[in-house]
Amino acid sequence: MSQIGTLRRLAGYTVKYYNDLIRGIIALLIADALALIIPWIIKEAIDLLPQRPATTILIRYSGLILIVAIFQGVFRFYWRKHLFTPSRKVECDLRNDYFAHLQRLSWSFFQHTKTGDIMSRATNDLTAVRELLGFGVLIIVDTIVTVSTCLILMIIINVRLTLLILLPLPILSFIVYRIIGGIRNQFKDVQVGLSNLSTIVQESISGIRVVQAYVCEESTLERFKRINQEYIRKNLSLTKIRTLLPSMMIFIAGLTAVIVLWIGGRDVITGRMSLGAFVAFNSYLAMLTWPMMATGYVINLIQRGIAAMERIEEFLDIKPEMVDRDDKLPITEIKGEIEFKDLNFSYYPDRGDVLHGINLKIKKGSITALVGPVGSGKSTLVKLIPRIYDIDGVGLTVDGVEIKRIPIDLLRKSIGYVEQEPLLFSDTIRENILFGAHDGASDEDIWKAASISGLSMEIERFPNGMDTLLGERGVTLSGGQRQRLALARVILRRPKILILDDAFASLDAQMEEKVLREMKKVMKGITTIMISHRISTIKDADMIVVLDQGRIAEVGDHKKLISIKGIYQNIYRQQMLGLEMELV
Amino acid sequence: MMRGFANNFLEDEILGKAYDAKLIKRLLRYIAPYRLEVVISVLLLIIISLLHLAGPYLTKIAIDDYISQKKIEGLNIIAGIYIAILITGFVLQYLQVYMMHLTGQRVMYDLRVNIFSHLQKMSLAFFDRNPVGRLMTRVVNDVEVLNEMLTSGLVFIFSDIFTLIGIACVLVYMDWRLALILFTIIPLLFIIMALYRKKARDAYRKTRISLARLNSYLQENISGMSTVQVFGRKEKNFNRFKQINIENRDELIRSIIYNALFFPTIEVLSAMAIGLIIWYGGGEILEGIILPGVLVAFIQYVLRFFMPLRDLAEKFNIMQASMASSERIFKVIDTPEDIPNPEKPVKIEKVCGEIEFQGVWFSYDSGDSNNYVLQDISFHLKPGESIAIVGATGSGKTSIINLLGRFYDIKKGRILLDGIDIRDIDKYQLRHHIGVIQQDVFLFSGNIEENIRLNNKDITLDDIKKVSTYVNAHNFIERFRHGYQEIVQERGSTLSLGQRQLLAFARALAYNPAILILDEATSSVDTETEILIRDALQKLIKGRTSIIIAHRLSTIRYVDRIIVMKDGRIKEMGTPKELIKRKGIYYNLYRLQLFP
Ligand SMILES: Nc1ncnc2c1ncn2[C@@H]1O[C@H](COP(=O)(O)OP(=O)(O)OP(=O)(O)O)[C@@H](O)[C@H]1O
Ligand SMILES: Nc1ncnc2c1ncn2[C@@H]1O[C@H](COP(=O)(O)OP(=O)(O)OP(=O)(O)O)[C@@H](O)[C@H]1O
Ligand SMILES: [Mg+2]
Ligand SMILES: [Mg+2]
Repeated sequence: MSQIGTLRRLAGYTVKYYNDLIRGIIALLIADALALIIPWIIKEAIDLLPQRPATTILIRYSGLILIVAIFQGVFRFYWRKHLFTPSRKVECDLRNDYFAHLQRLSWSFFQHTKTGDIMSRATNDLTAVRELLGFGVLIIVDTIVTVSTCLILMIIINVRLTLLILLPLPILSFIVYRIIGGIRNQFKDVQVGLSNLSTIVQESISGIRVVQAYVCEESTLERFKRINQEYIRKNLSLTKIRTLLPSMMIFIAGLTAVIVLWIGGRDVITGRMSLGAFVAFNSYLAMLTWPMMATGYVINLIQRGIAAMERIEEFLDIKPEMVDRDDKLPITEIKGEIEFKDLNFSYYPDRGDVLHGINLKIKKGSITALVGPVGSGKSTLVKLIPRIYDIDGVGLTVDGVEIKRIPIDLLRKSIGYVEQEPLLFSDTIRENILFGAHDGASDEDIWKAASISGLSMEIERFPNGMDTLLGERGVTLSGGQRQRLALARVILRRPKILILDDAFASLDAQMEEKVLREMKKVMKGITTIMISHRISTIKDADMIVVLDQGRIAEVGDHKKLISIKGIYQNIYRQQMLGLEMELV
Repeated sequence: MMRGFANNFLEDEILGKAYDAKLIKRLLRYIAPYRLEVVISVLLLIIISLLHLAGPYLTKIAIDDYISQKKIEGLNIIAGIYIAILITGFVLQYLQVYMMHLTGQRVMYDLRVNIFSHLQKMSLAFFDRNPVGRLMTRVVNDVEVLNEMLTSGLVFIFSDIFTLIGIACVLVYMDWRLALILFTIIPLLFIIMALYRKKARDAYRKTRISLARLNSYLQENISGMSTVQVFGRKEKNFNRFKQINIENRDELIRSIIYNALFFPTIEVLSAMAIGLIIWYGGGEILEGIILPGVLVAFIQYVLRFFMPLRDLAEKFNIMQASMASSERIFKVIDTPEDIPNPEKPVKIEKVCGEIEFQGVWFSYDSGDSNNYVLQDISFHLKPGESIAIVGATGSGKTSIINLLGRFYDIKKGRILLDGIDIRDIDKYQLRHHIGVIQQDVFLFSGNIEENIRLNNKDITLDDIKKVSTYVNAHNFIERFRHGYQEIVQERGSTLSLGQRQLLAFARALAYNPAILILDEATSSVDTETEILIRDALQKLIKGRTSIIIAHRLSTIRYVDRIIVMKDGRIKEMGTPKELIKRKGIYYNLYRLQLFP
């Protein structure tokens, strides 16, 4: 019965706007009360007719109806305004919370959850929740008010008749009770189907370069069709039961009309009831028809809203891992000394370690290089420093402080990290360089960063210069340009710790040499960790660490490592000697 | 951040009219295959509306003919008829709704398949311009809006109009004078609706734009969340998001007010109508022109008359949204294939792999700008020859190979494959013969085997294992718990980049193409693995034409010839030995990697 919890949570969001709600409900009450007066006036007028009243009296009645209607209109306007507004506000709050929550979730969440799915919940599901709050709340309140007052008035007119028309109610509630759970589950199915649909579209379009190059259009289309069909099937099976409710409500409403006509008619004939009362009774009944139909609709709405909210909650309830611990230290600055002590790490608790027994001390301001085969754990090791992944124990310290006790915002603020596959945003080049900058970076700073990373000449050559708009993920740049843009982005950040994960891999030798030379000037005093497969990039590092299958195999500087027989020497030979021979 | 987005949203600004005959006509074409269902459904609707109208009329008969005359038996009969009508109405209603949904779903399916397959035909230039989020909205959400129109807009508007006309007829039939008096309200109704329409349109456009902006921002933040977090942009981005979100909210709240105004106004009109009936109709009763039952029926009919008008605003919004959606959808469908397939493609059975570029000029800009990325590129590759392209970053290497597979079309010059202009070859067939490892590796969610095979059923698991061994991926794949069935996440994010690159390599080899293209295929691979691959490749590329782009010169030691690119032009071309002798750009690069 998490359903109750879900509703409570929604209520929590809504209650904040009680001001609007109360005003809305009061206006609604008044409007509904006024609405009840009109049939009464009609009744009076009709009952008056056999007494042959003067036309002026009839005009007075008409005028009265109009005046009441105008007042009613004013209040209706008010309740619509005040009851719908909170739903929009709640939608906005919920979306903010969703976003803020996503921001706190760890990388592994995003790696294991499809973008299309996360999006779908923030759009399609959120819409369903909002509709529940807007129309749902409105119709519920309206229905309760209208139904109860109408009933009271009807009781005043004729108790017996009123009781009789309530006869179908228990049957109705029983049926509703029986199908309601099914409806909710099917709604959920449909929303899942919609997510799947979004996901396949999202992925096939993101991967269109591969799809087209490998001529997979047809098979992708087949997969798309399958998911599409699945979605339609779910939709139709939902339709089957969901349609039942509104149709049934109309039927029940009609049934009560028959009862009134039949029994009430007899009452008029036998003189137990006046014709005017009969007509008024009918008018009230007509007023009930709409809320009755709406009830069928609103039950669907609520079920869908709850199903959708449950899906949003699935994500909201994931505990964010990357938050400050209670015992964090009031550190305000990071100097940049890093130490790994007997560190083990694995991505999944039930699988083997990716890193084993890492012991490494990185001095402040030094340059450390990591080399090693594919999948040896280089990227994993550096990802632990900005706490992209958290270690279990206490094996990692920065400035001698256990990393989890450093305020995470400070830690990340002090780190400049060029990912192995940097992500750019579909914005201008300028905004992309500015992305991680601390406040107050001037245009000059931006150009300087661009020139250090060897981009400024190319940017000048673009027709729009710094204001060139990039495609999504930066697709309209060449691979090397993207990488250098990512470099410029961290240079402007002026970090204390600089992590370059294979950040020169897409540069030609000449450019690499140039960028490296320029960067060394600004890297002074910054603790730098660089990963590379190229000897030329790393040979000047203070310390070179060779990783192999998650273990440190060799440590030392270039001179030392080429003199001992091992992995590094081997790499060196392969990269240099082969070429030298040719040159001769 | 994302300031530059503004001009990306023009397309979302498209604002349909609530009714656009051209669009409706096109939509009808999608409905045409299901016309039988639609016709039946509309017929059912008409019957249902009639049945609904019967209620008040039965009441009138009951009052005037039986209740006032005190005839109980007649009343029984009327009640019986009423119940029968109700049951029929219930069944028909259920059938109608189901039928309409069925049709709606099928139309949606067709439409989605149509858009999706059209998207697949677009060139990369199109995808450079259009963010994924937007295209996803076209296929998923815009179609969903159309479905809503189909199932709860269009048909109901039909039935509403029918109901309105039906009621008008009945009213005229019962008492034409009273009816005419009532109809004086109709012009007022039109004025109110026209006013509302204008306001609602404006509001709709604004909310539409702010929502599009909101969703794109969200999408980009989700896919780039890691970067956002590491760069400490949490707060900044949250504030930006919040700001867009609140803008959107306020825009929406403003549009609530229009709706809130419209609905009560209609109600006042309805009260006015009732007032008129009592005043004028009452007078008529006094003069003996009509019976009281007529008056009662009139009132009931008028209430019903205004019922469909109550949610007219709702329906109007649905129509408005769906016209805008369909316009956007059709805009995608109407975007011509900018790299069309030749009408009469030259048949190529077997490809020898002779490639020739003749004075090729190329620019990514459409139109005739002089912003050439490639200028006057000419070279010739004999079948089975291997060639390397080296050069500074951004010099146009990737662009050259993009042209070969016709992912973009050239501006000037010709590209020939086996002596045939590639523009005369079926582009799918052309691509079939080219196996390319792209600079940006993309893996699909699924498993490793699927990612190498890419739905090509001719490739067996043994083949996959073989090529994985060639590229030295077999070892690490075997180490995974599920081996080749190990799950791959979106974009392969749980694999190391080098591993991803090896899988992409294996994918290209499994494809067994006549022409092999490697674009920085081993840039993230360690030297030892690279040498293993290179040696395996030496065997593999025998007899295949191959083009290899690499910055690490050790990668290209064994190629037959080298092209050196600079600023979009070929600067040097020749065998490695020749180029070293020439002491030009290549020689310098070479020395730099040796003795930096
Ligand atoms: N899709 C695109 N749209 C517009 N311009 C592009 C696009 N792709 C590349 N360019 C531009 O064309 C030029 C050549 O890019 P290309 O990708 O061919 O370079 P490259 O030689 O492969 O460089 P790298 O070694 O860095 O990969 C660059 O200036 C780049 O900005
Ligand atoms: N997010 C993740 N979830 C699960 N496993 C992962 C994840 N990221 C990496 N791995 C696995 O951990 C191992 C080490 O990966 P890592 O990315 O650290 O390698 P690397 O040394 O950087 O390799 P490369 O040179 O290819 O970049 C690999 O076997 C990889 O498959
Ligand atoms: Mg890595
Ligand atoms: Mg390239």
